[in-house]
This record gives sequence, C-alpha cells and structure tokens, in this order.
Amino acid sequence: MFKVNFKQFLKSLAVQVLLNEQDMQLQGYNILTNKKFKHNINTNPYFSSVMSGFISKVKDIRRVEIFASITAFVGDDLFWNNLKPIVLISSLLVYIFKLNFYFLLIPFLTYFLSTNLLRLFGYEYGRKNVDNMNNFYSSFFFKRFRFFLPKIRYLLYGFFVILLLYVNLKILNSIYFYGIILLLIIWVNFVYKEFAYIFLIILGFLVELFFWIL
Amino acid sequence: MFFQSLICEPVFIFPILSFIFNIHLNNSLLILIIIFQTFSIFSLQLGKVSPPNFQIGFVSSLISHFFLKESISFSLLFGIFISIIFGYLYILKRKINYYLSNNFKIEFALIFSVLISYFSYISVLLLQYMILKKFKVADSSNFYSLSLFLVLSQVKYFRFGKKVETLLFLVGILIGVICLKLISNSF
Repeated sequence: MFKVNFKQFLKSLAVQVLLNEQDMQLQGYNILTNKKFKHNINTNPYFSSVMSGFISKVKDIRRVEIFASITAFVGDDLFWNNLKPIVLISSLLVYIFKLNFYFLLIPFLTYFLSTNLLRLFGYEYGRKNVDNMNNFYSSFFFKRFRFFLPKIRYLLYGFFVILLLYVNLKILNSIYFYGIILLLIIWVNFVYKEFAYIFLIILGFLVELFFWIL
Repeated sequence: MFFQSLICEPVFIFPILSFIFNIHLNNSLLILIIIFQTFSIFSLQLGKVSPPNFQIGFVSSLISHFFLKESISFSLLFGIFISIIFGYLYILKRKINYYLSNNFKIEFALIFSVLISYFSYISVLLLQYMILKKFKVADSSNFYSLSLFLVLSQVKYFRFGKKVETLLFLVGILIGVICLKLISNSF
C-alpha cells in the first residue's frame, strides 16, 4: 500500500506544477487519476491525493464537485491562510531575537510534515472514508485546528507589528521623523487603499532623492 | 514547483545559503529577510496561490548584496523589482502550461513546465546580474527604514473579522512591548 501511496504522492505534485489559467487543475488530475477523471475541479493541492482516493471510489460527478469545493476551502483556510503565516512569522521571530537557527526546524517541520503526510496518506484516507466525507468539514481534526489557529495568527500579528515598529525606530534614530512617516503611511493607506503599495514605493524613491540632493 | 515550496521562503533558505557560502547574519541581511518574508506572508493573505516571486526577490537581493557587494538600498530595490517581474513571469508560466498540456503528451508537458520555470528564473537572474554591473545606488538607512514601513502598511490585509481577533491582536502587541526588553540590546 505504501508503494501506491508514494506513487500518488509524487503524482499529486503535478497538480501544482501544471496549474494553468484555462484548465486550472484539470491536467494535474489527469495524471493523478491516470486520465480516468476528465472534469474541471478546483481543490487545494495539498488535498489532491485525498481527492484522487475519493474520485477512485465515487462516480457521481456532483458529489466529487461538492467535495472538491470543500477541500479547496478547508485547505486554503487551514494551510495558506492560517498555518503558513504562523510558521513564517514564528520563524522570523527566531531571526529577530537572534536565536539559534536550529529553532527554525520546529516551524519548518510542522508545516512540511503536516502537508506532505497529508499528500502521502491522503489517497488511502480518501478511499476509506468515502461515506464519511459529509462530515469532513466538521470533523474533529479540522474543527479543532480551525478554532485555535486563527487565534494564534492574530496574536502573532500583533507581536510582529510592534517588533517591526521597534526595529524601524532603532534604524531611524529620530522620533520626529519616525512619527511623521508613520502618520503618512497610515494616511496613505486610508486614502489610496489598494494603490497605497505603489504610492509608497514612489514615495520611497522621492524621499531617497531628497536625501541624495541634501 | 521547487520555488513554490516552503524551503524557498527567505527564513528557511537563508540558513542553507549561509551554511554553503559562509554568510553571517547582520542587521542589513536581517532587514532583507524581514521585508521579503513579510511581503511573502501578506501575498498569502491576499488569497494568491503562493506565487514564488518574493522568494526569488530575496535570493536576488542576497546575491547583489553579498556576492556583488552592492549597497543594501540598491539590493532591496532590485529585489522588489525582480519580485514584481517574477509575478508576471509566473502568470506567463501558467499560460504556457495551458499551451504545453494541450499540445504535448502530458508527461512531456510536466517536464517542459518544470524546465521552463527553472530556465526562465535563472535567465532573469543572470539578466539581473548584467544590469547590476552597470548601475550604482548610494546607500541610505532612510531608504530601508521606509521599506520597513512599507511592509508595515500591509497590516490592512489582516482582515479582522471578529472582536476576539482584534483583542488577540492587541494582546500580541502587549506581549511584544514586554518582549522588547529582550531585544533592546540586539540592535
């Protein structure tokens, strides 16, 4: 069984590699299901082997589509919206506090193992739990994770923001200049909204030019 | 595929590069890591499918700062520009994927897709190297301080939904203030 799981694991990587704008994940699922499944579905790539196990047992396309959209939502929310930012911010804290690089192994392995073990054993899980998939979203595992992960994320955001402000203050060495820039950034974000990003890059150039002239 | 994996995030690739090339972490490199890592985190928050541009942007900055001995301001600027270029390159790659998978056998399309990714990224990096050799920008701490503020301005993407989330964010700030004592000697 491990050999089958490993094969599916390798094939599941194709879902991300062959992602394109027109077919989305169709070509990836072509490889994953040995060209047996030819419908366009959208899932989270980490759940692709779970999906392939599910597809191998279920022939009703509507059931597959519903389950695909559930895995897309759960996967995006669990891994990309919550777990990855937590892992990356906690790794940044290792740098900011100048801890030993070995501490980076903890967040790295947390994310690496959780995603790749899901890919590795997902096929078997998908095949075995075809009838229980209705409870997939509200199952114990995801319910638990969805409860505490966002809370950790927001706590880390607050922690990270204050550290960034502090680092910046140390670089600038001028409380007045610092206050002016901070107010300017807040104002630009309120006024320009999604264009604030571009505006601030131009502003950076202008300030740099100003200092160069001085 | 490789560039999209977790190992390519600035925080994880730096220890590997520092081990291979014997790079020591200093404040300039720390700023580079913070800026590109934060951009990468917030690009996830925007709901993008983890485009690999900020990872490559960081590596480009590291090359220009450490190997080509360019100023941190210039390396930072160049890394950000490269990130923007790679964003478009990624979109182009997704378009090429469609062409490949419809015109070639799927196994070949897979191999071509991986090869195109590698060669396009490496050729842009080489192009960057050639451009870098021709330009010089004066170093200024004000510029990378502004870049850190630019990163900070991404806070709006946090999307506070519930009261408890705002409360936890404020608790995080409080813990951060307490912990500042710990790093006060680091900078």
